[in-house]
Amino acid sequence: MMEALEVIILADGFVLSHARGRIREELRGEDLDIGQELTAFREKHGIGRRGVNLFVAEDLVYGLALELPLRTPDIKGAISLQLGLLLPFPEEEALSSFTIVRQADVYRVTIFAVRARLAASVIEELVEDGFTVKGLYPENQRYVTARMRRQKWALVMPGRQTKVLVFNGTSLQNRLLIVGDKFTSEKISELCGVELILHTDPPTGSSFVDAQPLLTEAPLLREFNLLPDSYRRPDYLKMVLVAMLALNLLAFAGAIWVRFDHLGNQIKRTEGEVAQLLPQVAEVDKTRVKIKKVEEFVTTMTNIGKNPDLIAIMSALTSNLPDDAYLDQFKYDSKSRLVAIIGYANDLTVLTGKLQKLGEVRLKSTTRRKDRFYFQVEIALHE
Amino acid sequence: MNSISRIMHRRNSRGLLLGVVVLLALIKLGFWLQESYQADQAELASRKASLARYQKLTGQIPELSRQLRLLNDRREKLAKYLFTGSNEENIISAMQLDIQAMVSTAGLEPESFRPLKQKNSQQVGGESSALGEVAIKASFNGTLAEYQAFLAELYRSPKMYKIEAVTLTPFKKSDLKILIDLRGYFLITAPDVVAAAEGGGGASKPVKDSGT
Repeated sequence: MMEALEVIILADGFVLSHARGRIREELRGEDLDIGQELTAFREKHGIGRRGVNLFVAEDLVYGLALELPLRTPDIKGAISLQLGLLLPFPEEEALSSFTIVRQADVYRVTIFAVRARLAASVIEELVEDGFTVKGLYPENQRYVTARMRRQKWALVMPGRQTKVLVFNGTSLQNRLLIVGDKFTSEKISELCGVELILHTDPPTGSSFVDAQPLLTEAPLLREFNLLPDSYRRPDYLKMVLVAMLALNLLAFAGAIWVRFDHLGNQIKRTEGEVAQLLPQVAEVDKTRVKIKKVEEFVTTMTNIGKNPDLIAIMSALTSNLPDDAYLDQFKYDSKSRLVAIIGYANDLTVLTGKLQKLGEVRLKSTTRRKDRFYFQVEIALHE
Repeated sequence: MNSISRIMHRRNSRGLLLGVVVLLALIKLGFWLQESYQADQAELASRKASLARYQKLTGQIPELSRQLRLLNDRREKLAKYLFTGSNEENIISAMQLDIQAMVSTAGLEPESFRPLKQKNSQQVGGESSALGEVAIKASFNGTLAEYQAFLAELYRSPKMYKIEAVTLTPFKKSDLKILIDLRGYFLITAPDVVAAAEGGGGASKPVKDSGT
Protein backbone atom coordinates (compact mmCIF):
# COMPACT_ATOMS: atom_id res chain seq x y z
CA MET A 1 0.00 0.00 0.00
CA MET A 2 2.85 2.35 0.76
CA GLU A 3 4.12 1.86 -2.75
CA ALA A 4 0.77 2.50 -4.51
CA LEU A 5 0.59 5.31 -7.00
CA GLU A 6 -1.71 8.12 -6.09
CA VAL A 7 -3.38 10.53 -8.46
CA ILE A 8 -5.26 13.50 -7.06
CA ILE A 9 -7.72 14.94 -9.53
CA LEU A 10 -7.73 18.71 -9.28
CA ALA A 11 -9.99 21.19 -11.02
CA ASP A 12 -7.16 22.22 -13.32
CA GLY A 13 -4.82 19.29 -13.36
CA PHE A 14 -3.45 16.39 -11.39
CA VAL A 15 -1.06 15.62 -8.62
CA LEU A 16 0.94 12.46 -9.17
CA SER A 17 2.35 10.93 -6.06
CA HIS A 18 4.25 7.85 -5.08
CA ALA A 19 5.38 6.56 -1.71
CA ARG A 20 2.86 8.83 -0.02
CA GLY A 21 4.12 12.05 -1.43
CA ARG A 22 7.84 11.46 -1.20
CA ILE A 23 7.82 11.51 -4.99
CA ARG A 24 5.35 14.11 -6.14
CA GLU A 25 4.61 16.01 -9.31
CA GLU A 26 1.88 18.46 -10.11
CA LEU A 27 0.47 18.72 -13.61
CA ARG A 28 -1.57 21.73 -14.58
CA GLY A 29 -3.40 22.33 -17.79
CA GLU A 30 -6.22 21.09 -19.93
CA ASP A 31 -6.30 18.05 -22.20
CA LEU A 32 -3.73 16.18 -20.22
CA ASP A 33 -3.63 12.46 -20.87
CA ILE A 34 -3.22 11.17 -17.38
CA GLY A 35 -2.38 7.69 -18.64
CA GLN A 36 0.62 8.89 -20.57
CA GLU A 37 1.63 11.35 -17.86
CA LEU A 38 1.59 8.63 -15.25
CA THR A 39 3.53 6.29 -17.51
CA ALA A 40 6.17 8.95 -17.92
CA PHE A 41 6.13 9.52 -14.15
CA ARG A 42 6.70 5.82 -13.57
CA GLU A 43 9.52 5.59 -16.02
CA LYS A 44 11.13 8.73 -14.72
CA HIS A 45 11.18 7.52 -11.12
CA GLY A 46 11.63 3.81 -11.85
CA ILE A 47 8.36 2.79 -10.27
CA GLY A 48 7.22 -0.75 -10.99
CA ARG A 49 3.74 -0.61 -9.63
CA ARG A 50 0.70 -0.19 -11.84
CA GLY A 51 -1.97 0.04 -9.17
CA VAL A 52 -3.40 3.51 -8.77
CA ASN A 53 -5.52 5.07 -6.07
CA LEU A 54 -7.44 8.03 -7.38
CA PHE A 55 -8.40 10.89 -5.11
CA VAL A 56 -10.73 13.72 -6.03
CA ALA A 57 -9.81 17.10 -4.64
CA GLU A 58 -12.14 18.08 -1.85
CA ASP A 59 -13.35 21.09 -3.86
CA LEU A 60 -14.70 18.78 -6.57
CA VAL A 61 -16.52 16.51 -4.17
CA TYR A 62 -20.09 16.99 -3.05
CA GLY A 63 -20.52 15.95 0.52
CA LEU A 64 -23.95 15.47 2.01
CA ALA A 65 -25.09 14.51 5.47
CA LEU A 66 -28.61 13.14 5.92
CA GLU A 67 -30.66 11.79 8.73
CA LEU A 68 -33.16 9.11 7.87
CA PRO A 69 -35.77 7.66 10.20
CA LEU A 70 -35.00 4.25 11.63
CA ARG A 71 -38.15 2.88 10.01
CA THR A 72 -37.00 3.81 6.51
CA PRO A 73 -37.93 0.69 4.48
CA ASP A 74 -35.47 1.17 1.60
CA ILE A 75 -32.45 3.12 2.72
CA LYS A 76 -30.64 2.89 -0.61
CA GLY A 77 -33.72 4.10 -2.43
CA ALA A 78 -34.09 6.98 0.03
CA ILE A 79 -30.44 7.95 -0.43
CA SER A 80 -30.80 7.84 -4.20
CA LEU A 81 -33.86 10.06 -3.95
CA GLN A 82 -32.04 12.54 -1.72
CA LEU A 83 -29.08 12.58 -4.10
CA GLY A 84 -31.42 13.37 -6.98
CA LEU A 85 -32.86 16.28 -4.99
CA LEU A 86 -29.66 17.71 -3.55
CA LEU A 87 -27.02 17.27 -6.25
CA PRO A 88 -26.61 20.09 -8.79
CA PHE A 89 -26.51 17.55 -11.61
CA PRO A 90 -28.62 14.48 -12.41
CA GLU A 91 -28.13 11.63 -10.04
CA GLU A 92 -27.45 9.30 -12.99
CA GLU A 93 -24.33 11.33 -13.78
CA ALA A 94 -22.92 11.01 -10.29
CA LEU A 95 -20.51 8.56 -8.76
CA SER A 96 -21.42 8.28 -5.11
CA SER A 97 -20.64 6.37 -1.96
CA PHE A 98 -22.09 6.61 1.50
CA THR A 99 -21.82 5.37 5.06
CA ILE A 100 -24.68 4.75 7.45
CA VAL A 101 -24.35 5.10 11.19
CA ARG A 102 -27.27 4.03 13.30
CA GLN A 103 -27.89 6.47 16.07
CA ALA A 104 -30.40 6.44 18.89
CA ASP A 105 -33.37 7.51 16.78
CA VAL A 106 -32.11 8.02 13.22
CA TYR A 107 -29.72 6.71 10.61
CA ARG A 108 -26.99 9.25 9.99
CA VAL A 109 -25.96 8.99 6.35
CA THR A 110 -22.83 10.64 4.96
CA ILE A 111 -22.60 10.77 1.17
CA PHE A 112 -19.84 11.79 -1.18
CA ALA A 113 -20.49 12.25 -4.85
CA VAL A 114 -18.55 13.46 -7.88
CA ARG A 115 -19.54 14.07 -11.46
CA ALA A 116 -19.09 10.84 -13.35
CA ARG A 117 -17.56 12.51 -16.38
CA LEU A 118 -14.87 14.04 -14.17
CA ALA A 119 -13.54 10.68 -13.15
CA ALA A 120 -14.59 8.56 -16.10
CA SER A 121 -12.13 10.00 -18.58
CA VAL A 122 -9.30 9.72 -16.05
CA ILE A 123 -10.13 6.13 -15.28
CA GLU A 124 -10.41 5.18 -18.93
CA GLU A 125 -7.11 6.81 -19.82
CA LEU A 126 -5.39 5.02 -16.97
CA VAL A 127 -6.89 1.68 -17.92
CA GLU A 128 -5.93 2.19 -21.54
CA ASP A 129 -2.33 2.70 -20.48
CA GLY A 130 -2.32 -0.52 -18.51
CA PHE A 131 -2.91 0.84 -15.02
CA THR A 132 -5.18 -0.78 -12.50
CA VAL A 133 -7.46 1.65 -10.74
CA LYS A 134 -7.87 0.35 -7.23
CA GLY A 135 -10.24 2.98 -5.94
CA LEU A 136 -11.62 6.47 -6.27
CA TYR A 137 -11.92 8.41 -3.00
CA PRO A 138 -12.52 11.91 -1.74
CA GLU A 139 -9.18 13.50 -0.92
CA ASN A 140 -9.89 13.49 2.82
CA GLN A 141 -9.52 9.70 2.84
CA ARG A 142 -5.78 10.10 2.13
CA TYR A 143 -5.44 11.29 5.72
CA VAL A 144 -7.37 8.49 7.37
CA THR A 145 -4.68 6.14 8.67
CA ALA A 146 -4.39 3.56 11.40
CA ARG A 147 -2.64 6.11 13.61
CA MET A 148 -5.96 7.94 14.15
CA ARG A 149 -7.88 4.80 15.03
CA ARG A 150 -8.46 5.76 18.65
CA GLN A 151 -8.63 9.53 18.23
CA LYS A 152 -11.44 12.00 17.92
CA TRP A 153 -10.15 14.50 15.50
CA ALA A 154 -11.03 17.01 12.81
CA LEU A 155 -9.27 17.75 9.55
CA VAL A 156 -9.32 21.24 8.06
CA MET A 157 -8.95 21.24 4.29
CA PRO A 158 -8.67 24.74 2.75
CA GLY A 159 -9.91 25.42 -0.77
CA ARG A 160 -12.59 27.49 -2.44
CA GLN A 161 -14.47 26.82 0.74
CA THR A 162 -12.79 25.53 3.85
CA LYS A 163 -14.02 22.08 4.79
CA VAL A 164 -13.82 20.62 8.24
CA LEU A 165 -14.16 16.87 8.41
CA VAL A 166 -14.88 15.47 11.83
CA PHE A 167 -13.72 11.90 12.49
CA ASN A 168 -14.30 9.47 15.25
CA GLY A 169 -11.33 7.18 14.83
CA THR A 170 -11.29 6.28 11.15
CA SER A 171 -14.97 6.90 10.63
CA LEU A 172 -16.19 10.20 9.23
CA GLN A 173 -18.84 11.68 11.50
CA ASN A 174 -19.52 15.09 9.99
CA ARG A 175 -18.48 17.45 7.23
CA LEU A 176 -18.75 21.19 7.76
CA LEU A 177 -18.23 24.06 5.37
CA ILE A 178 -16.74 27.23 6.87
CA VAL A 179 -17.27 30.56 5.21
CA GLY A 180 -14.40 33.02 5.46
CA ASP A 181 -10.86 32.38 6.51
CA LYS A 182 -10.69 33.99 9.96
CA PHE A 183 -11.02 30.99 12.10
CA THR A 184 -8.75 29.46 14.65
CA SER A 185 -8.10 25.97 15.90
CA GLU A 186 -9.88 26.85 19.14
CA LYS A 187 -13.00 28.02 17.34
CA ILE A 188 -13.15 24.91 15.22
CA SER A 189 -12.52 22.79 18.28
CA GLU A 190 -15.42 24.52 19.99
CA LEU A 191 -17.59 24.11 16.90
CA CYS A 192 -16.85 20.42 16.40
CA GLY A 193 -16.42 19.38 20.01
CA VAL A 194 -13.08 17.83 19.15
CA GLU A 195 -9.75 18.84 20.66
CA LEU A 196 -7.37 17.53 18.01
CA ILE A 197 -7.62 19.79 14.93
CA LEU A 198 -5.35 18.94 12.01
CA HIS A 199 -4.77 21.14 9.00
CA THR A 200 -3.55 20.03 5.60
CA ASP A 201 -1.71 23.33 5.16
CA PRO A 202 -1.56 25.06 8.56
CA PRO A 203 -1.03 28.83 8.44
CA THR A 204 2.22 30.00 9.98
CA GLY A 205 1.82 30.77 13.67
CA SER A 206 -1.53 28.98 13.98
CA SER A 207 -2.16 26.34 16.58
CA PHE A 208 -3.37 23.79 14.03
CA VAL A 209 -1.62 20.44 14.01
CA ASP A 210 0.02 19.66 10.70
CA ALA A 211 -1.73 16.78 8.94
CA GLN A 212 1.22 16.00 6.64
CA PRO A 213 2.73 13.32 8.98
CA LEU A 214 -0.43 11.29 8.35
CA LEU A 215 0.67 10.93 4.74
CA THR A 216 3.70 8.91 5.82
CA GLU A 217 1.43 6.01 6.64
CA ALA A 218 -0.72 3.91 4.37
CA PRO A 219 -4.30 5.19 4.09
CA LEU A 220 -6.95 2.75 5.23
CA LEU A 221 -9.34 3.53 2.36
CA ARG A 222 -12.25 1.73 3.94
CA GLU A 223 -14.96 4.24 3.22
CA PHE A 224 -16.30 6.26 0.32
CA ASN A 225 -14.90 4.36 -2.63
CA LEU A 226 -16.59 6.15 -5.50
CA LEU A 227 -15.25 3.84 -8.17
CA PRO A 228 -18.10 2.20 -10.10
CA ASP A 229 -18.29 -1.58 -9.80
CA SER A 230 -17.63 -1.96 -13.52
CA TYR A 231 -14.15 -0.48 -13.03
CA ARG A 232 -13.31 -2.32 -9.90
CA ARG A 233 -10.80 -5.07 -10.18
CA PRO A 234 -12.02 -8.21 -8.55
CA ASP A 235 -10.50 -8.50 -5.11
CA TYR A 236 -8.62 -11.73 -5.73
CA LEU A 237 -6.98 -11.63 -2.34
CA LYS A 238 -10.36 -11.44 -0.68
CA MET A 239 -11.64 -14.28 -2.85
CA VAL A 240 -8.58 -16.36 -2.08
CA LEU A 241 -8.95 -15.60 1.61
CA VAL A 242 -12.62 -16.55 1.57
CA ALA A 243 -11.82 -19.72 -0.36
CA MET A 244 -9.02 -20.56 2.05
CA LEU A 245 -11.28 -19.85 5.00
CA ALA A 246 -13.95 -22.11 3.53
CA LEU A 247 -11.31 -24.73 2.79
CA ASN A 248 -9.95 -24.46 6.30
CA LEU A 249 -13.42 -24.73 7.76
CA LEU A 250 -14.07 -27.76 5.60
CA ALA A 251 -10.74 -29.27 6.58
CA PHE A 252 -11.45 -28.51 10.24
CA ALA A 253 -14.92 -30.04 10.00
CA GLY A 254 -13.43 -32.97 8.12
CA ALA A 255 -10.73 -33.46 10.74
CA ILE A 256 -13.35 -33.41 13.48
CA TRP A 257 -15.51 -35.83 11.52
CA VAL A 258 -12.52 -38.14 10.94
CA ARG A 259 -11.65 -38.12 14.62
CA PHE A 260 -15.23 -38.83 15.64
CA ASP A 261 -15.55 -41.46 12.94
CA HIS A 262 -12.29 -43.08 14.02
CA LEU A 263 -13.46 -43.08 17.61
CA GLY A 264 -16.86 -44.44 16.60
CA ASN A 265 -15.23 -47.20 14.56
CA GLN A 266 -12.99 -48.08 17.47
CA ILE A 267 -16.03 -48.29 19.76
CA LYS A 268 -17.88 -50.45 17.22
CA ARG A 269 -14.86 -52.72 16.73
CA THR A 270 -14.41 -53.09 20.47
CA GLU A 271 -18.12 -53.76 20.88
CA GLY A 272 -17.86 -56.45 18.19
CA GLU A 273 -14.90 -58.08 19.92
CA VAL A 274 -16.73 -57.94 23.25
CA ALA A 275 -19.83 -59.50 21.64
CA GLN A 276 -17.66 -62.27 20.20
CA LEU A 277 -16.17 -62.97 23.62
CA LEU A 278 -19.46 -62.95 25.52
CA PRO A 279 -20.34 -66.63 24.84
CA GLN A 280 -16.89 -67.65 26.01
CA VAL A 281 -17.28 -65.46 29.09
CA ALA A 282 -20.60 -67.17 29.81
CA GLU A 283 -18.80 -70.50 29.35
CA VAL A 284 -16.17 -69.39 31.87
CA ASP A 285 -18.87 -68.48 34.36
CA LYS A 286 -20.61 -71.83 33.82
CA THR A 287 -17.32 -73.70 34.20
CA ARG A 288 -16.58 -71.83 37.41
CA VAL A 289 -19.98 -72.74 38.83
CA LYS A 290 -19.38 -76.38 37.87
CA ILE A 291 -15.93 -76.32 39.45
CA LYS A 292 -17.36 -74.84 42.63
CA LYS A 293 -20.03 -77.51 42.85
CA VAL A 294 -17.64 -80.37 42.12
CA GLU A 295 -15.22 -78.93 44.67
CA GLU A 296 -18.03 -78.78 47.22
CA PHE A 297 -18.85 -82.40 46.46
CA VAL A 298 -15.23 -83.47 46.78
CA THR A 299 -14.84 -81.48 49.99
CA THR A 300 -18.00 -83.02 51.43
CA MET A 301 -16.82 -86.50 50.52
CA THR A 302 -13.37 -85.82 51.92
CA ASN A 303 -14.82 -84.46 55.15
CA ILE A 304 -16.80 -87.64 55.75
CA GLY A 305 -13.54 -89.07 57.00
CA LYS A 306 -12.34 -92.57 57.72
CA ASN A 307 -14.14 -95.23 59.66
CA PRO A 308 -12.81 -95.86 63.16
CA ASP A 309 -10.65 -98.97 63.54
CA LEU A 310 -13.01 -100.68 65.97
CA ILE A 311 -11.02 -103.90 66.10
CA ALA A 312 -7.91 -102.02 67.17
CA ILE A 313 -9.90 -100.06 69.77
CA MET A 314 -11.39 -103.24 71.18
CA SER A 315 -8.01 -104.99 71.19
CA ALA A 316 -6.44 -102.05 73.05
CA LEU A 317 -9.33 -102.02 75.52
CA THR A 318 -9.02 -105.80 76.10
CA SER A 319 -5.31 -105.62 76.71
CA ASN A 320 -5.67 -102.73 79.15
CA LEU A 321 -8.54 -104.09 81.22
CA PRO A 322 -7.52 -105.86 84.47
CA ASP A 323 -8.01 -109.61 84.44
CA ASP A 324 -10.70 -109.37 87.10
CA ALA A 325 -12.79 -106.92 85.11
CA TYR A 326 -15.94 -107.97 83.30
CA LEU A 327 -17.85 -105.85 80.76
CA ASP A 328 -21.65 -105.78 80.43
CA GLN A 329 -21.66 -103.22 77.62
CA PHE A 330 -19.24 -101.64 75.15
CA LYS A 331 -20.34 -98.52 73.34
CA TYR A 332 -18.40 -96.42 70.89
CA ASP A 333 -19.40 -93.12 69.34
CA SER A 334 -17.26 -92.20 66.36
CA LYS A 335 -18.24 -88.50 66.27
CA SER A 336 -17.02 -87.84 69.81
CA ARG A 337 -14.47 -90.72 69.77
CA LEU A 338 -15.93 -91.71 73.12
CA VAL A 339 -15.88 -95.27 74.43
CA ALA A 340 -18.44 -95.99 77.15
CA ILE A 341 -18.11 -99.23 79.06
CA ILE A 342 -20.33 -100.69 81.77
CA GLY A 343 -19.21 -103.62 83.91
CA TYR A 344 -17.59 -104.56 87.19
CA ALA A 345 -14.10 -105.09 88.65
CA ASN A 346 -12.48 -105.78 91.98
CA ASP A 347 -10.35 -102.65 92.06
CA LEU A 348 -11.46 -99.46 90.33
CA THR A 349 -8.15 -97.74 90.93
CA VAL A 350 -6.33 -100.41 88.97
CA LEU A 351 -9.03 -100.30 86.28
CA THR A 352 -8.94 -96.53 85.75
CA GLY A 353 -5.15 -96.48 86.01
CA LYS A 354 -4.81 -98.97 83.20
CA LEU A 355 -7.47 -97.35 81.03
CA GLN A 356 -5.65 -94.00 81.23
CA LYS A 357 -3.35 -95.40 78.54
CA LEU A 358 -6.23 -95.29 76.06
CA GLY A 359 -7.38 -91.76 76.75
CA GLU A 360 -8.96 -89.47 79.25
CA VAL A 361 -11.02 -91.56 81.62
CA ARG A 362 -14.16 -90.27 83.31
CA LEU A 363 -15.87 -92.39 85.94
CA LYS A 364 -19.58 -91.77 85.44
CA SER A 365 -20.94 -93.94 88.27
CA THR A 366 -19.84 -96.64 90.65
CA THR A 367 -21.68 -98.96 93.04
CA ARG A 368 -20.28 -101.62 95.33
CA ARG A 369 -22.04 -104.94 95.68
CA LYS A 370 -20.66 -108.22 96.95
CA ASP A 371 -17.04 -106.94 97.06
CA ARG A 372 -17.29 -105.83 93.45
CA PHE A 373 -17.29 -102.38 92.07
CA TYR A 374 -19.89 -101.88 89.37
CA PHE A 375 -18.79 -99.04 87.14
CA GLN A 376 -19.79 -96.90 84.25
CA VAL A 377 -16.72 -95.36 82.62
CA GLU A 378 -16.22 -93.08 79.59
CA ILE A 379 -12.92 -92.93 77.79
CA ALA A 380 -12.20 -90.05 75.43
CA LEU A 381 -9.73 -91.74 73.11
CA HIS A 382 -6.43 -90.14 72.26
CA GLU A 383 -6.20 -88.72 68.77
CA MET B 1 -25.70 -1.29 30.44
CA ASN B 2 -26.32 2.19 29.06
CA SER B 3 -22.73 2.48 27.90
CA ILE B 4 -22.99 -0.90 26.15
CA SER B 5 -26.19 0.30 24.52
CA ARG B 6 -24.44 3.50 23.42
CA ILE B 7 -21.52 1.55 21.99
CA MET B 8 -23.90 -0.67 20.13
CA HIS B 9 -25.64 2.32 18.65
CA ARG B 10 -22.38 3.97 17.74
CA ARG B 11 -20.97 0.92 15.99
CA ASN B 12 -22.64 -1.23 13.48
CA SER B 13 -24.78 -2.86 16.09
CA ARG B 14 -26.35 -5.46 13.83
CA GLY B 15 -22.99 -6.74 12.69
CA LEU B 16 -21.68 -6.68 16.23
CA LEU B 17 -24.65 -8.63 17.53
CA LEU B 18 -24.37 -11.10 14.69
CA GLY B 19 -20.68 -11.51 15.41
CA VAL B 20 -21.33 -12.08 19.11
CA VAL B 21 -24.08 -14.60 18.32
CA VAL B 22 -21.85 -16.47 15.86
CA LEU B 23 -18.95 -16.43 18.32
CA LEU B 24 -21.15 -17.74 21.15
CA ALA B 25 -22.57 -20.39 18.86
CA LEU B 26 -19.06 -21.43 17.84
CA ILE B 27 -17.95 -21.56 21.47
CA LYS B 28 -21.02 -23.62 22.35
CA LEU B 29 -20.39 -25.89 19.38
CA GLY B 30 -16.78 -26.26 20.45
CA PHE B 31 -17.79 -27.17 23.99
CA TRP B 32 -20.41 -29.57 22.70
CA LEU B 33 -17.91 -31.24 20.37
CA GLN B 34 -15.36 -31.47 23.15
CA GLU B 35 -17.87 -32.96 25.59
CA SER B 36 -19.11 -35.36 22.97
CA TYR B 37 -15.58 -36.41 22.08
CA GLN B 38 -14.66 -36.87 25.73
CA ALA B 39 -17.81 -38.92 26.30
CA ASP B 40 -16.93 -41.11 23.31
CA GLN B 41 -13.40 -41.49 24.60
CA ALA B 42 -14.69 -42.49 28.03
CA GLU B 43 -17.03 -45.00 26.40
CA LEU B 44 -14.17 -46.41 24.34
CA ALA B 45 -11.99 -46.67 27.44
CA SER B 46 -14.80 -48.47 29.26
CA ARG B 47 -15.34 -50.86 26.35
CA LYS B 48 -11.62 -51.52 26.11
CA ALA B 49 -11.44 -52.21 29.83
CA SER B 50 -14.33 -54.67 29.46
CA LEU B 51 -12.62 -56.27 26.47
CA ALA B 52 -9.35 -56.63 28.39
CA ARG B 53 -11.24 -58.16 31.32
CA TYR B 54 -13.08 -60.57 29.04
CA GLN B 55 -9.87 -61.48 27.19
CA LYS B 56 -8.22 -62.22 30.52
CA LEU B 57 -11.22 -64.32 31.54
CA THR B 58 -11.37 -66.26 28.30
CA GLY B 59 -7.62 -66.78 28.53
CA GLN B 60 -8.35 -68.84 31.62
CA ILE B 61 -10.58 -71.26 29.72
CA PRO B 62 -7.87 -73.91 29.10
CA GLU B 63 -6.78 -73.84 32.75
CA LEU B 64 -10.38 -73.91 34.00
CA SER B 65 -11.21 -76.78 31.64
CA ARG B 66 -8.18 -78.70 32.87
CA GLN B 67 -9.16 -78.00 36.48
CA LEU B 68 -12.74 -79.11 35.81
CA ARG B 69 -11.52 -82.26 34.05
CA LEU B 70 -9.31 -83.18 37.01
CA LEU B 71 -12.09 -82.45 39.46
CA ASN B 72 -14.54 -84.50 37.40
CA ASP B 73 -12.07 -87.40 37.36
CA ARG B 74 -11.81 -87.14 41.10
CA ARG B 75 -15.55 -86.84 41.38
CA GLU B 76 -16.00 -89.95 39.27
CA LYS B 77 -13.58 -91.87 41.46
CA LEU B 78 -15.37 -90.73 44.58
CA ALA B 79 -18.78 -91.41 43.05
CA LYS B 80 -17.80 -95.07 42.60
CA TYR B 81 -17.96 -95.39 46.40
CA LEU B 82 -21.54 -94.18 46.36
CA PHE B 83 -24.79 -95.87 45.55
CA THR B 84 -26.22 -94.21 42.47
CA GLY B 85 -29.74 -94.19 41.17
CA SER B 86 -32.67 -92.14 40.16
CA ASN B 87 -34.83 -93.08 43.13
CA GLU B 88 -34.03 -92.77 46.81
CA GLU B 89 -36.23 -95.71 47.84
CA ASN B 90 -34.44 -98.05 45.47
CA ILE B 91 -31.05 -96.88 46.62
CA ILE B 92 -31.90 -97.42 50.29
CA SER B 93 -33.21 -100.84 49.42
CA ALA B 94 -29.99 -101.70 47.61
CA MET B 95 -28.01 -100.39 50.54
CA GLN B 96 -29.91 -102.65 52.97
CA LEU B 97 -29.36 -105.63 50.71
CA ASP B 98 -25.67 -104.87 50.61
CA ILE B 99 -25.39 -104.65 54.41
CA GLN B 100 -27.47 -107.77 54.80
CA ALA B 101 -25.14 -109.61 52.47
CA MET B 102 -22.13 -108.54 54.55
CA VAL B 103 -23.91 -109.65 57.74
CA SER B 104 -24.69 -113.03 56.22
CA THR B 105 -21.16 -113.43 54.90
CA ALA B 106 -19.80 -112.72 58.40
CA GLY B 107 -22.19 -115.32 59.89
CA LEU B 108 -24.08 -112.87 62.05
CA GLU B 109 -27.74 -113.34 62.73
CA PRO B 110 -29.63 -110.20 61.64
CA GLU B 111 -32.34 -108.81 63.88
CA SER B 112 -33.43 -105.52 62.41
CA PHE B 113 -32.59 -102.85 59.82
CA ARG B 114 -34.09 -99.45 60.18
CA PRO B 115 -33.17 -96.78 57.60
CA LEU B 116 -33.80 -93.18 58.61
CA LYS B 117 -34.21 -90.86 55.66
CA GLN B 118 -32.07 -87.77 55.52
CA LYS B 119 -32.60 -84.87 53.22
CA ASN B 120 -30.34 -84.54 50.20
CA SER B 121 -27.36 -82.49 51.14
CA GLN B 122 -26.32 -80.73 47.96
CA GLN B 123 -26.34 -80.54 44.20
CA VAL B 124 -23.24 -81.99 42.67
CA GLY B 125 -21.12 -80.80 39.78
CA GLY B 126 -23.66 -78.58 38.13
CA GLU B 127 -25.62 -81.59 36.95
CA SER B 128 -29.03 -82.79 37.96
CA SER B 129 -27.59 -85.04 40.61
CA ALA B 130 -27.72 -84.70 44.36
CA LEU B 131 -25.59 -86.15 47.11
CA GLY B 132 -27.74 -87.75 49.77
CA GLU B 133 -27.22 -89.74 52.91
CA VAL B 134 -29.22 -92.21 54.92
CA ALA B 135 -28.77 -93.30 58.52
CA ILE B 136 -29.27 -97.02 59.16
CA LYS B 137 -29.77 -98.50 62.55
CA ALA B 138 -29.09 -102.24 62.49
CA SER B 139 -28.97 -104.91 65.16
CA PHE B 140 -27.76 -108.48 64.96
CA ASN B 141 -26.36 -111.28 67.13
CA GLY B 142 -23.23 -113.31 66.84
CA THR B 143 -19.86 -114.11 68.22
CA LEU B 144 -17.00 -111.67 68.58
CA ALA B 145 -15.25 -113.39 65.68
CA GLU B 146 -18.32 -113.00 63.51
CA TYR B 147 -18.56 -109.36 64.52
CA GLN B 148 -14.93 -108.86 63.55
CA ALA B 149 -15.59 -110.57 60.23
CA PHE B 150 -18.50 -108.21 59.64
CA LEU B 151 -16.31 -105.21 60.34
CA ALA B 152 -13.70 -106.55 57.93
CA GLU B 153 -16.40 -106.93 55.28
CA LEU B 154 -17.62 -103.42 55.96
CA TYR B 155 -14.13 -101.96 55.63
CA ARG B 156 -13.54 -103.87 52.41
CA SER B 157 -16.83 -102.82 50.90
CA PRO B 158 -16.59 -100.90 47.60
CA LYS B 159 -19.41 -98.69 48.88
CA MET B 160 -18.99 -96.03 51.48
CA TYR B 161 -20.43 -96.58 54.95
CA LYS B 162 -19.54 -94.54 57.96
CA ILE B 163 -19.82 -96.24 61.36
CA GLU B 164 -21.26 -93.68 63.71
CA ALA B 165 -21.82 -95.70 66.82
CA VAL B 166 -21.56 -99.30 68.02
CA THR B 167 -22.96 -100.89 71.11
CA LEU B 168 -21.99 -104.43 72.18
CA THR B 169 -23.69 -106.26 74.97
CA PRO B 170 -23.35 -109.91 76.01
CA PHE B 171 -26.09 -112.09 74.65
CA LYS B 172 -26.82 -115.61 75.78
CA LYS B 173 -23.65 -117.37 76.86
CA SER B 174 -21.06 -116.67 74.22
CA ASP B 175 -22.73 -114.31 71.82
CA LEU B 176 -22.94 -110.59 71.53
CA LYS B 177 -25.84 -108.36 70.76
CA ILE B 178 -24.59 -105.79 68.34
CA LEU B 179 -26.30 -102.46 67.70
CA ILE B 180 -24.66 -100.43 64.98
CA ASP B 181 -25.46 -96.97 63.58
CA LEU B 182 -24.26 -96.63 60.02
CA ARG B 183 -24.47 -93.80 57.56
CA GLY B 184 -24.63 -94.57 53.88
CA TYR B 185 -24.07 -92.12 51.03
CA PHE B 186 -25.62 -92.06 47.59
CA LEU B 187 -26.09 -90.01 44.45
CA ILE B 188 -29.48 -89.41 42.95
CA THR B 189 -29.29 -88.61 39.28
CA ALA B 190 -32.09 -87.26 37.09
CA PRO B 191 -33.34 -89.65 34.39
CA ASP B 192 -31.73 -87.64 31.56
CA VAL B 193 -28.40 -87.67 33.36
CA VAL B 194 -28.74 -91.38 33.98
CA ALA B 195 -29.48 -91.94 30.31
CA ALA B 196 -26.42 -89.89 29.36
CA ALA B 197 -24.34 -91.87 31.80
CA GLU B 198 -25.57 -95.14 30.35
CA GLY B 199 -24.67 -93.82 26.92
CA GLY B 200 -21.04 -93.65 28.02
CA GLY B 201 -20.70 -89.93 28.81
CA GLY B 202 -21.56 -90.04 32.52
CA ALA B 203 -19.47 -90.78 35.54
CA SER B 204 -21.80 -93.02 37.47
CA LYS B 205 -24.25 -95.78 36.74
CA PRO B 206 -27.56 -96.35 38.42
CA VAL B 207 -27.94 -99.35 40.71
CA LYS B 208 -30.47 -101.80 39.55
CA ASP B 209 -33.37 -102.23 41.89
CA SER B 210 -32.77 -105.29 44.09
CA GLY B 211 -35.87 -105.15 46.24
CA THR B 212 -35.80 -105.37 50.01
